[in-house]
Amino acid sequence: MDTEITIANLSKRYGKTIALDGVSLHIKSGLYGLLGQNGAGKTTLMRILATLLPKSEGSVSVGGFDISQAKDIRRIIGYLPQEFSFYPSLRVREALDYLGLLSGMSNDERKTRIPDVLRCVNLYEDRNKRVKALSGGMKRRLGIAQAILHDPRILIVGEPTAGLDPVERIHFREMLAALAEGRTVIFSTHIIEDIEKTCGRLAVLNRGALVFNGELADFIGSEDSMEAAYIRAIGEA
Amino acid sequence: MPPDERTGDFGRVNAVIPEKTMPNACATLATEYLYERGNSFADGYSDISGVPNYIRQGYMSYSELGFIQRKTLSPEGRSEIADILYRITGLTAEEISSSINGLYEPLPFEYRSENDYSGRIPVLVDYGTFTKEMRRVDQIIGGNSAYAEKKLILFATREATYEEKYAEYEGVVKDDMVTNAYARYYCDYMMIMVALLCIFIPVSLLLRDRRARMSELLASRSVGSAQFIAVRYAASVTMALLPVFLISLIPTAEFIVWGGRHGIRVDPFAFIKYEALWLLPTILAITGVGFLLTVLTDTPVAIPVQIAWSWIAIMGTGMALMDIQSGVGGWWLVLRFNLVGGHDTIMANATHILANRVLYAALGIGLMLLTVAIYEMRRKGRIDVLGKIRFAAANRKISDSSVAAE
Repeated sequence: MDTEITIANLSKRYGKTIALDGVSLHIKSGLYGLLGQNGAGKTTLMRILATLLPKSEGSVSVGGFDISQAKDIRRIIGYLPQEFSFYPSLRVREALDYLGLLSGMSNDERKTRIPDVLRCVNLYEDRNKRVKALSGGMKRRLGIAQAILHDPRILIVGEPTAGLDPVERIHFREMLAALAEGRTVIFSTHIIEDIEKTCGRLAVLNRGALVFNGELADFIGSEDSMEAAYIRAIGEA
Repeated sequence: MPPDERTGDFGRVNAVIPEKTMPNACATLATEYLYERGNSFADGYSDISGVPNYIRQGYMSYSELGFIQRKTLSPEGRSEIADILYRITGLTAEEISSSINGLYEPLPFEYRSENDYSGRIPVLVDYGTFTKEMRRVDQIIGGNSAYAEKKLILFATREATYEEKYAEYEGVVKDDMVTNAYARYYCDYMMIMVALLCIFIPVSLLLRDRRARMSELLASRSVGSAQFIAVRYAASVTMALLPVFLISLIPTAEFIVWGGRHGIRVDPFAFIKYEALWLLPTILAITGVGFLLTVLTDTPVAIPVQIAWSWIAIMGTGMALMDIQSGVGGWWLVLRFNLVGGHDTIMANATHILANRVLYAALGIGLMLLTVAIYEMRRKGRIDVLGKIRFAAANRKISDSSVAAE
């Protein structure tokens, strides 16, 4: 089962603005951090991987499929965008049922899989609550539930811990680490601590360019802290 | 129930009766002439005082979109109208007015036969010459006036005969099996509701994705764009048709009971048939417009666009109704048939009606297919009209603020 992502010389331009500039990455199974400030190009990269944005140049392969094979890629990825919500009047289980249906899952598959994923994200007890009654953290967990519902090989998650309280953030990081067993999870964030605590490997983007790609230990190197290493990497004092 | 021959009263029908049509048309024309002249010149025409302004404004006619309008004429046009009246009656407009006891408020076209001035206004020409003169009057006014040849029928009525009334009854009972006649009448009114309201369903359905911030979650699923759009399109169409269908169950049940009680065979599927063949194509087309414009722009722009189109169609088809009293709407989006009965008219126009309905059904399906293509492009980030608008607006704000700062 191919869970690898290969990106070569990927560029994305919006008119004169360069959002990604010749990015090359090879991402293997496990939890992979994508670190960068706001506007670094993380969201653009994730949306290209999720087939929601066309690239300007370069080549991308997701799970063995070329990026032009959008339908095949959508079948094997789970995507949690940075900004999302659900129809507020739906119940938690109904929201998942609808999204599962759109992922091509059969009635039987949905019937067995929805309780499983709700347990996995600790929302089973809240399955009959309406989405509008959920807290921010619960909505994020529901977001993860919809992303893993069809058991994807590759999970692309954007800023999942933004706005969460410290306890929720710890739970979330643990959950992502558990989900990375046997699949590739790309975890995009601008929160350095989240990467430090969870990811063995990471890529750092700055103004659309890749400034680091490798092991976390190599990234920190001789610096005192992750923050210092990050500042060094993006070249700002 | 069949008409009772013993009553001797079978209602009235519009008809061309030269001895009534000609004086009535001349009386109305003289009245409109005097009002318009009085209004235009304010020349002290005494009888005009106390007449409401809205009828002083000129000759009543209908615009192409079916709106009532009042036309005022040039001095040449006015003088030509006076000449035409004189040629037909040998009288001036003032003399015509005197002979019918002064000015009266010109009635809407469909009620003009209520006045009868036959014998009170002399007519010096035959009906052929009269229609020729009226054609000229219609031209001077600008068309679509009460004097257009096909509307002259509205200036007179005659008593309907028992045979006519019985034929009408037979048409409803035998040809239409009662319910078909009433289903058309029902669909005529429902068509107006559907044309104006059903656009809200697809637009609100599609905009809910953006409002609920679901768009990216939906776009990243593996479902095909064709399936995704087609199912939602079918759901919107069903939602528009469902209330019309449910309401029609009431008259259907009543007619079935009534038919059973009187031993008259009714068609229990008439309402469903007309809803599917008469209303559905309009719903398909409107839903198609809603889908296309909403998916393309991610804004509710389809609502004003469609309401404008529907309004124009309702008004336009109203003109067709006026033209032949039982019009079937030409090529308009909205078909109207405001009669109980009229089976023969429907049959005579069946090919045209069918072509009209097929056109709009095909248009609706075509727009839906176009929406699939646009959604597929949008899903891949190749189209983002709203994003571009916002980007341009943001850039404009930035450049405005930099100009202000300088």
